[in-house]
Amino acid sequence: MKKTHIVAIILIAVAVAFMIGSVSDSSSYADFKEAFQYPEKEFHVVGELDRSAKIAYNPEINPNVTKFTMIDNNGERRKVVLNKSKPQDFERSESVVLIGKANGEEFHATEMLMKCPSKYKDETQFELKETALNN
Amino acid sequence: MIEYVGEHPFYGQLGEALIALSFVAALLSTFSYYFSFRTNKIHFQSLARASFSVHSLALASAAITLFVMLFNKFFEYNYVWTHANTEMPLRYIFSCFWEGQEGSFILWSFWNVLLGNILMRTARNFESLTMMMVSIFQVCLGSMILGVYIFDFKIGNSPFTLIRELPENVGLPWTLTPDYLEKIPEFSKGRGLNPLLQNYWMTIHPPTLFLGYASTLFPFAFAIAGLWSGKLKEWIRPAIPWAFFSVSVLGIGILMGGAWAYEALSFGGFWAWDPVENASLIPWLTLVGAAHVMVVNQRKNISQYTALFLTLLTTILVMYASFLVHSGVLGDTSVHSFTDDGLMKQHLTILLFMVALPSTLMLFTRRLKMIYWGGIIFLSVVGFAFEMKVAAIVAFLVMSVALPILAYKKVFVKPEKEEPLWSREFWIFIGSMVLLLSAAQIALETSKPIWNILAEPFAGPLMDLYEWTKISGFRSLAEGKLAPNSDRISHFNKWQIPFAFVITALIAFTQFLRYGKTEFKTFAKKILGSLIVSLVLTLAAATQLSYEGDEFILLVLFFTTVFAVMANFDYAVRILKGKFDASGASVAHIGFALVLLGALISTSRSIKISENASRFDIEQLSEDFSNNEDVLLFKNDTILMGDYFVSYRDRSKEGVNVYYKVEYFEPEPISYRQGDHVIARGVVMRAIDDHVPGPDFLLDQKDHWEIVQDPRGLVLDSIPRWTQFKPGEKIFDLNPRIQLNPEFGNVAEPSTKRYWNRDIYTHIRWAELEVDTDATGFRSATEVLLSVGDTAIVGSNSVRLNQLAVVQDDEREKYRIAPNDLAVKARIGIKTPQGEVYEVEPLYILRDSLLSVPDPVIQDETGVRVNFDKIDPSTGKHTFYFAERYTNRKEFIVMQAIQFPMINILWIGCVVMFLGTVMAIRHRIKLSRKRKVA
Repeated sequence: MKKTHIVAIILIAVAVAFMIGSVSDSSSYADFKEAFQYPEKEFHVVGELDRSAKIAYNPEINPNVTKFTMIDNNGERRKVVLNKSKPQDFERSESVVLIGKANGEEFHATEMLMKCPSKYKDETQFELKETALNN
Repeated sequence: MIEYVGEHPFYGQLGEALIALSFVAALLSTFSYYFSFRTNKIHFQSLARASFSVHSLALASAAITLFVMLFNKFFEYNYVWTHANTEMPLRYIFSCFWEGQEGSFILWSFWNVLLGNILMRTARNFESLTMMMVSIFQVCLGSMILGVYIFDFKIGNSPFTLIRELPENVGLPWTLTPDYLEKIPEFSKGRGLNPLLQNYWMTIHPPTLFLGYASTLFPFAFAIAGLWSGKLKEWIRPAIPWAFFSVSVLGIGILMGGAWAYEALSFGGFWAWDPVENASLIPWLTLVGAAHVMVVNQRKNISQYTALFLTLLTTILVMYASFLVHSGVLGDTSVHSFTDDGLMKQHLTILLFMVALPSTLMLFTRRLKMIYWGGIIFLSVVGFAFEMKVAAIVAFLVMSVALPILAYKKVFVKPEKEEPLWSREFWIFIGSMVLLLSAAQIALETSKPIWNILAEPFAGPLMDLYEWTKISGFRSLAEGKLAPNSDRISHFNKWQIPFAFVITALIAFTQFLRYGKTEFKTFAKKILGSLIVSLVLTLAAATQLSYEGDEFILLVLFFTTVFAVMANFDYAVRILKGKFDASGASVAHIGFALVLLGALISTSRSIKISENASRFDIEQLSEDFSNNEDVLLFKNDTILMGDYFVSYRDRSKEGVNVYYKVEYFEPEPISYRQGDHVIARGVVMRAIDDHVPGPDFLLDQKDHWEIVQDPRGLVLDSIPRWTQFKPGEKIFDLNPRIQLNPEFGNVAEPSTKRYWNRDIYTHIRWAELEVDTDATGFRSATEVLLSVGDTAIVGSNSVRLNQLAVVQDDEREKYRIAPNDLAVKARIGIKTPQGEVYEVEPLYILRDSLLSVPDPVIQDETGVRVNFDKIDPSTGKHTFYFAERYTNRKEFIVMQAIQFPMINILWIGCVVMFLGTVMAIRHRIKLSRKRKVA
């Protein structure tokens, strides 16, 4: 067998290995329903912060815990315990992605990504106030 | 026609005209260069050169126009309003320029123009085809900023659009008001730049990165020219300096991104394997492979196909990177999130064109080309007619890869003899393949959102695959729900560290191999020295940094990177005899190995020194949770954190920034004297003798301490707790800050103390920026529902509803209740963080059985105000409002501190690598001149 063939075989083997490795090591997007159905599995859950509920962050007690309520894309509400300090401007977030597992009635998130609306979207919707028009 | 007041319509019209002119000139240049190639007539060449010059001038003028508009803050323009504001210092005007997509495309295009003009004057007999390729690319980029409508399809977004002309605003009443600029207050002040980008790195990182992106087009153009004209070997030599220029600039651009992340972003590191970072790294890896294979080809007439393949792939990957970043497909996977700019389809079309063009050329025979394009037309028709666009794109991609492989064997003859095992060319080839694999792994992992889209037509087979293999990832993929690995950084490291050590090992020994055949013995003799030195250094490091057990792989990488540094140094000194010109490659390789070494040490041995000092063990809550992230620091308290005592002193406001002064102190060992009292393990202890405490009280207790049986007579409050250290001399201050930005949200920026051998990095995770208090000096109250026996946490205290009781008649006087009031008293325990318990008795009073009378009770010691608001007998949960006195709580910050050891090796490596590539490029240009003369 030629060296180039050996090299080619090794290349293909490694490539296949990381294709499978990549798929089998993946997490999965889910809604709360699925996440609470399989509490042993880690999921990415997309949703938005429930602004009607309180965001509990008591750094004097523990600076590494934030508790809040999230509504997933199906409208299901769950209490969330996040193992992070409260992110800056959390209240303004438009959508959040939680990474973690269901635990009893709560969702325990180890990581959270959030998006703030004004950061990336153009807001060029102006309004001329009535008074301004009449002047 | 309305005469608008205060607008500057001239600039917008000028800009749009210039963009249109540059677009048309690029088109003209493309066609003229094509005909110049076909007919070889000089007047086509002159026309082409003239149109490219017009294109260059028009584009540069458009860039200047946009800059002038930003500089003068013409807020009636969308691009200016969105990216600039009145408060911005001049240096950030540049950052505004390329913050938005339109501006960044102009920047990219501008670099192409600059480099294109150099190419036009140096490419000689490759001019027609390479410049044609550059012009084609400029047409593509130009179309992204054109901003014209063809029927309903919008082509490009122009940066010169007025806000009132935006589609969503057209026809609104205010756009018909002539003096709208004066009447709408928002127009007096732009929205401004994202605070994260207000950093000096952001003025130089994007232009460098885009110069890197732009420069990849030039080796690509030579490869295309070689394919088109059948000069499958000749294109390589002139392309080499371009390729190394590109390696150097793109590499530095990527590392600058890392430096920016390290300094301005608060994720605590310089590389997070974020999709946006990866997108720029992937083409760099293939480009490095391409450049090396090209050099080999100059010495030994081999690896032509690999050089072509990697060069073409690099530019396709650059376009892919741009597509990933701008199209919004990354969606939820990146913190650098971008939303769809409405140009997704156009961007995709350009990307697919960039795939189709080289694929077509690589088919060589007319027949295969016909089949390919027939296929493309068929797929477009089927895709659009039957709404099977995704399937059509997948089929197109398969075809674009499969057909060139079929064609490959016909054109590229195999060398009669294989390259020998111990030859430079063989191992460089292996290296380029490893780089390709490394790039492929990053690309596959980063593209997961794309997989979900592309997998859609194959849901059925993927479900079958899931049934068969039970790998749940296949099911997620079938359902379009595949998510990135949750622990992204360690997942990438797991794959990339082995690639890194293969690459660094190759960097170490390959230079000692000759082209052709090398006797293994002579080769071994040459590298033995550096091998031994590196082994010794690695063993020393292993004990110093204690890499053990499962970190063995890190030790291997440590060894290979040190080996690479040593071997290249040795090579430059001993073999090249320190000849400056020839040692560029060695210097660049040393730099690269240093970058990896610095990254390895600083990330694998970074310590989060801000361990949680709270009473609450959060690891009990969930096994995935950890305590050692952030620490709470009360103002003026000094606590031991890692190897330092830290103290939060004060905050100050300067402009939009709030600075927090954090002091770091040396820990100094305490010495206890005989008779000293301390509190340890909940008891008062007395020192038996003079001693210096050890790390653990328990070990000291027997020999040095006795329990004070009767602590009466001692002032308990003044007895300190046992500690090993006390704060010593102040070493340094850090001033992490929070930038207040109402538009974008506040942003925390770290502050770092740099030593030669370590960095101490500190940033604010949370701080109370504004306190809402009422007139009586209390914070806003929190509603708490309590049943008897329930405990809840309110501020820093915990509260418990101990008992409920109706106020008896004989108590009425005591509680001052009117005769016809009905009153219930609640006994509420308040426990302070120090463990003291107080009790209050708020009343729920119902007057005339109707009206509830508020009766707030304030507990003085704790400063807690309790209001008993509602009784709910049906659920047993009663409503209370708790509020804390404002002065109750000391000001505090929550901060994170990380120590990065040896990170300077990384930065030194960056500089060395850059210098090395510059030396190598200079050498290559000299060589190619010499050959021309000869």
